[in-house]
Amino acid sequence: MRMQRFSPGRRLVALAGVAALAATMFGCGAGSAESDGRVTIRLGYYAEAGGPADKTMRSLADEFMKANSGIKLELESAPYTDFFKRLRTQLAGGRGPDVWLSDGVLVQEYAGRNSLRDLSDFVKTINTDDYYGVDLNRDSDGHVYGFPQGAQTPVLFYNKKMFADAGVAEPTGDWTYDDLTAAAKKLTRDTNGDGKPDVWGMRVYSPGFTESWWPMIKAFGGDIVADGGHKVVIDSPQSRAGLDWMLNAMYTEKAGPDVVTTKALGSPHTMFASNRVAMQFGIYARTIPANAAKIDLGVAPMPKGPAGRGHVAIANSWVVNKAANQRKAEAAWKWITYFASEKPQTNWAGIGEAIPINKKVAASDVFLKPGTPPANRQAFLDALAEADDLGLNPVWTEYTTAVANQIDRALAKEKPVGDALTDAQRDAQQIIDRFYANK
Amino acid sequence: MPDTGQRGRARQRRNRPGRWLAYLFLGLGAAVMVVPFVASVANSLKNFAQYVAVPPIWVPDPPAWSNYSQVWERAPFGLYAWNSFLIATLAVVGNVVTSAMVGHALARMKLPGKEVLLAAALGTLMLPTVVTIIPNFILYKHLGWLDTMLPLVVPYWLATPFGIFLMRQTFLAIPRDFEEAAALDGANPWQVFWRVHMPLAKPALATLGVFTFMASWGAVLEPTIYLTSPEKYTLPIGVMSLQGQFMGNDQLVTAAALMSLVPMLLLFLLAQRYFVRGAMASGLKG
Repeated sequence: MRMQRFSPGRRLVALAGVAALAATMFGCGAGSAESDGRVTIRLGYYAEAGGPADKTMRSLADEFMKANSGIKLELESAPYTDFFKRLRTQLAGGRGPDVWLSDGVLVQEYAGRNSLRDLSDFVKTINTDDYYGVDLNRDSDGHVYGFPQGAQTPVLFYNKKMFADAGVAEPTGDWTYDDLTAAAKKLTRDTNGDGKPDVWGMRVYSPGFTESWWPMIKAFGGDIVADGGHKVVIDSPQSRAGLDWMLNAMYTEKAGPDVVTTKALGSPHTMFASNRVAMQFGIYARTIPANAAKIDLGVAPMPKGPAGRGHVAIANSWVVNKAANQRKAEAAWKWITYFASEKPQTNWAGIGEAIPINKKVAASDVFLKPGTPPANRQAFLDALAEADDLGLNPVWTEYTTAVANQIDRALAKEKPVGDALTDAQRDAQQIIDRFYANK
Repeated sequence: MPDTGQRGRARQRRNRPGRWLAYLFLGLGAAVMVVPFVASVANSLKNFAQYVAVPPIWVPDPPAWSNYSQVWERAPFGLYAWNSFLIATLAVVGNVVTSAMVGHALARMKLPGKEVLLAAALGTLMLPTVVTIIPNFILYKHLGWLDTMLPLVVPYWLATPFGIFLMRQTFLAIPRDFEEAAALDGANPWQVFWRVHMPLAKPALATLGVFTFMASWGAVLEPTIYLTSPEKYTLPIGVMSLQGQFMGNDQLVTAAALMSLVPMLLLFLLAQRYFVRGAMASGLKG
């Protein structure tokens, strides 16, 4: 049994192959070398690969680096869910990005876990009146841990063609929740003659509560949390009135699909785009699927409830890693203020994902008259100006899940509304108390 | 002499309803398996309005062939496929060689406490990946391996519990006569392993290779966590990276997912013979 020997030529080829393989395998690891004098910051954001947001972000990063030769941005992107999955591991492993785009509802969660740098001193250097959403990121102690990148707030979306076909007058700013029910009832139809509605006037329920029970409860005078996110207050007659309106619209008036039907029809975000419902509460980003499906889209202010319109908003925000040193933090703040300036906000408005947080851009034709529906985009700005935050605190995901579990059961008629609200308040309060007790 | 031909035909006629029933069940079973695939193909050819239509459109008219070209325009899928192929191939080589070595040692060599070692290795199978992902992340950070392909390849070169178990069982089943004969011819333990036992274990090696390739090719969590540069993405996370936050892009994701099936399909067709034989020999279900 003799060992085969390689010729020198073959050895050379094999060595070259191994070297090429090693180069491919090791690649150029994401280092943060600052040997060329530039400060390198790792910038994370969520976007679909090659989509408009990804392309725009990359082109803005290039422009930023051209204008700021002392700063190098290393971009790390992934779709929304994967981005936050990776981020949690990166932060736990001590290698989070230096600056990243956070869903607005998660800013206080990361801040509460000591992952974010307090940006309050940076924010003092600019005029916050020029931007939407700065106060949405202020915690109960007045600290600011994130600076807005783009804003979302729900308004009333409606399908103009469906209204015209049914001979129903389009929504106005004077509409009340009673008007909403009455119109939704007229727009509900049984198109296949099986005796059951299959096209509804309004998507009443959505698992995405920003576009469903949260603003409705607020419009009826209820609220979810108070005292800077420390105290759960959902168990109130006003909250009950809001949920009763929903139950009435779905089960008595049958003007909206019930909870089971809504879930069975797939993503609630596509119901409006597939002409299944004539109206929905929708954040600004819902204009994208509506326009992609060529819906004759109109928007109107949220209907008035006994206590107002229940406006809420989310300011998706840039946050800075607490582990970033001063030099990196300053570079990150430079990027943040660059992104909030007119040109980048104009470019970002062009992709139609978010309401610009730069008020000058939001008030310009770039946002208000971009040439695509809806026409009345001012409704978004009016809502944003009056909006409350979504009850943000460091355990937002956990406590809102506990509340949503109970409310979903009530809206599916699996549990009396009163019991659900009592249990929701108890469960959510326990979660919040546990967090602050351990802090 | 009885007319066996006539009796056979009569039996066939009597069995005809049973046969039709069998065909019916098989046909239904096949439909259950095929319909989701056909629906995926149809979905990959829909535009957004067709995709969200209720009731669903089964045959998109006109078909959006551009979805397939859009996938290629949005991301370098050829590069992703190459990355996946490279990682999966290296994982296969590493796992087959090292698992065979460890499995052989545990099956054939005198080693005190080897049963305990095997139990310890198999015990790690019970740990879900999410439990080990943060410690591994910290380890790879200190090694400087983040955003490289090494975390996706090197673990396979340290033998995997499943591979060790499979190969140990295979080597245990080989009669000792072979190695005794080889030893009489002057073969040392390595030569017995490499020249005698490895050729006899080919079906199991092929099975392990296919399983490893499938696991590596389809891995999602680890590449998502460890790879941050798009040029290093593997095919599954390349496909997932097309998911939009506000519109889903499900039609594009479906088109990309179908395209990513092709290499696996080819591999299975090429290795089917070994795969089935090895799976039967090892008593494992695919």
